[in-house]
Amino acid sequence: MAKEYLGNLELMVLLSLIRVGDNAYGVPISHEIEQRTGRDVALGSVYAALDRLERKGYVTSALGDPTPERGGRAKRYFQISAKGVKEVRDAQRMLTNMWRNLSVLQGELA
Amino acid sequence: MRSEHPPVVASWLLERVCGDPGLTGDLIEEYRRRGSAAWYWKQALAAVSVYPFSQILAHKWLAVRAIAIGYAIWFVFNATLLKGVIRPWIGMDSTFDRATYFLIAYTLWLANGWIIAKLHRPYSTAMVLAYVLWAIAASVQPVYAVVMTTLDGSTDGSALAWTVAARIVTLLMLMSGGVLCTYRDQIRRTSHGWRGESPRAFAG
Repeated sequence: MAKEYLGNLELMVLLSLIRVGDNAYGVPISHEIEQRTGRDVALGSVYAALDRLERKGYVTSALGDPTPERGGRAKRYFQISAKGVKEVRDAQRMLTNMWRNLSVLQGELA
Repeated sequence: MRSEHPPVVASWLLERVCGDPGLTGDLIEEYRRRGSAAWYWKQALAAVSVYPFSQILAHKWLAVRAIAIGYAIWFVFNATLLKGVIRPWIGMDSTFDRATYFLIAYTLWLANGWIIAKLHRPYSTAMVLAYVLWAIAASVQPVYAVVMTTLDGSTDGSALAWTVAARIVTLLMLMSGGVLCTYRDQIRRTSHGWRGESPRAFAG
């Protein structure tokens, strides 16, 4: 089966998951992305990305208890798996290699 | 005045189309912090338009299965039962006969959407949407043919209007069947309590 690479949003979601740590659910994950990147990401898009990541085995999720302040809806907690951590490391290695020795990005002429 | 409760219609749409209590709960939590109905609507519409398509792309073979099952049900219900048995039995002589026939026909489309949804939990709405998209694609050729006959004067405009309206109602009945099935599942889940697992746990 062909290897599935991480998309831009998927990588940001995984990195946010690592940053948030325990008790990571949709709201803190999207806040983390917003604070770090300045991007206003729709929660629906974050959930769609998390669904894809769960299908790929990079993330696991579990439902908590319903709470009244959320209209009786439970929080869905997400956790990055060992496979997900490895995938983030691979992405970092790949991107660092792509970035290396690019004079244009260092303010010099190509 | 700032309301503590988010817009009801937007929440209803979210629950029926996305079906994830985590997402709806997160949006309610954020709504209570921000207090903007416009923000809530924007987020709900974004989720409703992104989430089901993302699920279709993520579960392509499930979508293919949903289309195949929908087609098989259509063949049994529409091509065999409706046209082969019910139509000759009812006859189409009076307005009442025709009304009865269309009522049965659209109920069968509703049942089609329901069955597809029932067989594709937890991705019910997304899989019904996959079949609806296929039905839209399958409608292009017949609608195009009626447009052409209308343009060359073989048929009048009412035939085109009827064809388009009938197909739109069909698609709405399909989606309604899917949404009703999801709604029933959600009521049952609420009364029995959620299992503390991923929605994937409901699959199969």
